[in-house]
Amino acid sequence: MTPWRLLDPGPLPAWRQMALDSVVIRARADNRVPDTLRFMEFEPHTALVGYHQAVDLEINRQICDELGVEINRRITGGGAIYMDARQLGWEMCLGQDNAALPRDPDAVYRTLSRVVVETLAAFGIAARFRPVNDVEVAGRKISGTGGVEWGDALIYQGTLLVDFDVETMLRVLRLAIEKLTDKEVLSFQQRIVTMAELLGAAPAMTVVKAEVVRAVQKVLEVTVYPESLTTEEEADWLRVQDSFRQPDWIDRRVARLAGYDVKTAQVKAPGGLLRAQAAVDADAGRIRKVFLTGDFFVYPERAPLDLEASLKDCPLEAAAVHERVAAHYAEGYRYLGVSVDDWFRVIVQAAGLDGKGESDGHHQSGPRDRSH
Amino acid sequence: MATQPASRWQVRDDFSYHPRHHWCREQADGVLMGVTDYTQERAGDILYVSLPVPGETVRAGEPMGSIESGKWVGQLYAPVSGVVVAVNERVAADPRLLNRDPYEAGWIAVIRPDAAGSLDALWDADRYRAALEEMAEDL
Repeated sequence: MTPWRLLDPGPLPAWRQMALDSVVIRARADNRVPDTLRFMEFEPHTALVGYHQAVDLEINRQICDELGVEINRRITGGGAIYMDARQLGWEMCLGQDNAALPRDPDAVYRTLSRVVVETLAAFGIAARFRPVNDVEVAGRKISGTGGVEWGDALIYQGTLLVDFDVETMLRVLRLAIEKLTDKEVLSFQQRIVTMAELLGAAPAMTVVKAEVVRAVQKVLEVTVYPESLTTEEEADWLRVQDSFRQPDWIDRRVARLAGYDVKTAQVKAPGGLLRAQAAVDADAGRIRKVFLTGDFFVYPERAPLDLEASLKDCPLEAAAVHERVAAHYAEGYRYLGVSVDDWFRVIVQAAGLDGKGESDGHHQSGPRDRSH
Repeated sequence: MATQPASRWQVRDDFSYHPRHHWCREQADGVLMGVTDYTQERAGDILYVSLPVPGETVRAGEPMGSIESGKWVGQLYAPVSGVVVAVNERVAADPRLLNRDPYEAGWIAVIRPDAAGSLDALWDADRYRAALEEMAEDL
């Protein structure tokens, strides 16, 4: 079986972790190192934006300052996350010619997510892949992922919620839920789940890591052996790491907006009341997030959470919203007295699209590179 | 047996191609370049684009910018070595231009090459089509 090395450098500040990502992926792209499984733990706690995001749209800097939360930027895509010592970051840095990887990018996510599903299965937790690239347990997210390619290498990385400080996360990230009621905040908390909640107590991090290694070996049919960085990687890491704590990196993308436009709407459907809250990035012409609640019957219960996931980053156009809601219904979810048009109406109202017709598709810029 | 016919991806006869799925075309002020139809189709809905800065020196085959879709960051590679003399701000403002019109309105940058004949090492349309055929076999 193909040998992979395991890097487990222990808790590190975010700027050193991000720098190490950039070093390892370049070393793999140059074929100087083998395929690599790496664990990431963050000390102190940190808020991380995705590679193309603007910090000020996603993170509350003042709260971070008060709480001692560091801010940094991943080299991978996806949304902002909060990481403390209670979550395990994991990543696979692979050559793009890896025989275990399918050529289709969507299939890559699905294949590699099986490692997380298999890890959780070892603890008796039944998880599943949720497109685009999350892993969920009964509709509640337990692992989010993102990736990046660099030349002939890629990094696929994610988090595993062993335990989680939801209150701090809600304060640190700008999740557009400031206007929610306590009941709705509780509902938001129900969108994520931790191993600690499912198991009654958080398993030891060393046990979780051992199960991730076992899952990688089983799912991808490789052997994983503990290893250190090469001398060349150590030197590269030392050389570049300081640049990852400078504003040129952390704020390399800046926002033209003060924040997302957050709107709420509700609609009475025959089957009950539907509420939608939408965080709209009018600058980029996208609905960044929607939050759906209400009083209605649906099977399975996670259906609205899957609908939320499918609407993430939806173009700010009524037709695009309708297409995604219709596709959601085509998956076979069974709503009682709630139709495609009911969800469509409440979402376009929350997004400010009702009565305005479709967007013309031409917008001002979204987050921009700082030098532009 | 191919499961994805390569002909689904448009390839322009009059362009040159870099193996990392970028096109280019010589014009008066340098080499105009962008991503191919294959790139945009495989990426899907492109959410973000990060462009190089005019005046920046780029090296053939090295990353000079990035795109993001589906939480995945892909690189924009320089097809030739030289200096970036212009970038398309419209794609930064509206990344879906890359999906809608990758060969025209969705151009990425103009690079003034270091040396004459820098496109000679690139593929012509037939060679690129053949490469797509090979890849389609694996999809």
